[in-house]
Amino acid sequence: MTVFEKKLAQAEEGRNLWRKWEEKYPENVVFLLLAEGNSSLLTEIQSFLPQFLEEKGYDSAVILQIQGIQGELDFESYQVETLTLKQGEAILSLYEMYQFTPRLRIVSLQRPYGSKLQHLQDFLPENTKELVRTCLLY
Amino acid sequence: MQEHHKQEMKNTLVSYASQCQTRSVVIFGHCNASQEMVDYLQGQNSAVTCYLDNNPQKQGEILDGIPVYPPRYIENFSKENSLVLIITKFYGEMASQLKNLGYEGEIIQVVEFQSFQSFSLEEEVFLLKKARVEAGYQHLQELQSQFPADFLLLCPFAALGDVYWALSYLPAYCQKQGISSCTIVVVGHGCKQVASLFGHDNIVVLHQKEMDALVQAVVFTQEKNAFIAHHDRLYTDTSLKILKETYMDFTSFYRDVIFGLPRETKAQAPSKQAPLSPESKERINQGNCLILAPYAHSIVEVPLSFWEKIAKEHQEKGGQVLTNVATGQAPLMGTEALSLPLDEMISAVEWAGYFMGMRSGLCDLLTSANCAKTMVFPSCCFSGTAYPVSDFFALEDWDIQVIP
Repeated sequence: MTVFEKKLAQAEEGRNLWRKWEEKYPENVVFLLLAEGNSSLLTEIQSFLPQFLEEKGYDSAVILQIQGIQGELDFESYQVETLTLKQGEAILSLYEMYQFTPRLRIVSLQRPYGSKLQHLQDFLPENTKELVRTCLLY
Repeated sequence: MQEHHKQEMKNTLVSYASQCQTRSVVIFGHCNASQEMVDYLQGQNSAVTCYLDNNPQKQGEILDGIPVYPPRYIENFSKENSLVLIITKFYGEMASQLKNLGYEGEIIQVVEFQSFQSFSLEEEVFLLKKARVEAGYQHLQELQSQFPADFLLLCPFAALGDVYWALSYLPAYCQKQGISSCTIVVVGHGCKQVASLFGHDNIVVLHQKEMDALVQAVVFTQEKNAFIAHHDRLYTDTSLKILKETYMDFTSFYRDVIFGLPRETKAQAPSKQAPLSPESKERINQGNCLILAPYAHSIVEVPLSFWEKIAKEHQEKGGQVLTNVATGQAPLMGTEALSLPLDEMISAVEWAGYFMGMRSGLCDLLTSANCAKTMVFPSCCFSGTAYPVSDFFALEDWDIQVIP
């Protein structure tokens, strides 16, 4: 199997995972995939999440934590799904194939691939708050 | 609709021409694009039976001379006697809706507006997107095989200004990344001309659809030997949203965010501008000619009366006025048309002495030209921000005129 074929298989796996969550959770929730263990981002996400949910009219959030890369933050107020690294990559691969839902936010400066948020963070290192509030939780 | 979408619409409808003549044509979703489609179909003597629309306020109305019904009205049609056309970006959801209502006939996606987006995981949609990323991967492999030693710079849209700034900052980016050789991939021959101005030899021109698939393949495979020189698709690259909170102008955004270069980085000017041909020197009065460029694709144009007044004032002072036009565009009243290759334009405005144009990619191209330059803006703000376009798209060494 080539690397490309593996990616396609991952995307297919991501599709199956997402369908399970669609059945498990009500329609009006948003999913946050914590794809990067960046503590300053996560701290800001945790702080802004209640306001984001209220402003956007979501009932709640489901936190998708990937084993091994999540931060030490408390997301106990929300539903949490713990993913293996492979499952996390499956969702990312599906998302990098196409935007299949408006209800997923990827908490990362580098994924989906092609994101220039790392450049933005380097350029405006003091503006993490604005970056999270406008570019990640939009 | 943009020109390439119109062409895609026509191509799709041509391939379904016989079905459109013999079956009931149902359009799901009333919008500007569907109105254009109705105009085209009627021009081809194909009648549209009805619209279906989810908006209760449209249901029961007659729009464009066609009745509008709720989606459940599809129950009146069989797969043998009908054809559904969808020309919105919500094809996946809308097609699913009709299938859930029991419709088994053909549902045609007339134009793929945002091919990277479809809020559906239905088998049909997933397979389409899979096929698309496979096609893009094939383009990627072909390019890598054709230019094995090169880094690929992708300029994803047929926008002269975007290509200009991507190429201006590319040398600094290459230096930073240790890249020695690049192939530039663009959409359309105008963009190829811009890339040529910067001295690049390896330039590949793709159609928009091919480029969209290629960009998606780069995203999907996380190809490290390629760079998307644009805030291309707003779901993978959300950096432009920062403008809601933090101001930076267009060229700084290119330098600082897209390329991630230090603020002190200087843009490189084009190195291969062509000299003005003897015929053009004959036509353009040296130092006393105003070249006007009143047409722009990417910004709201100002009334032609504004330009005609400018032309008249210059002529009354004894100056010559020429209108820069592309195919199908008319010169301003009382002026002659000027249509030159892009690589001659810098020499042309320097020879003429004066240039005034709507803010467009042509202005980016003329940034390094040494003459009196004025760019004209409508009075509006840049996409969803509080920043006037006249600030966001301003360029050094240009005079600015804002038209209310």
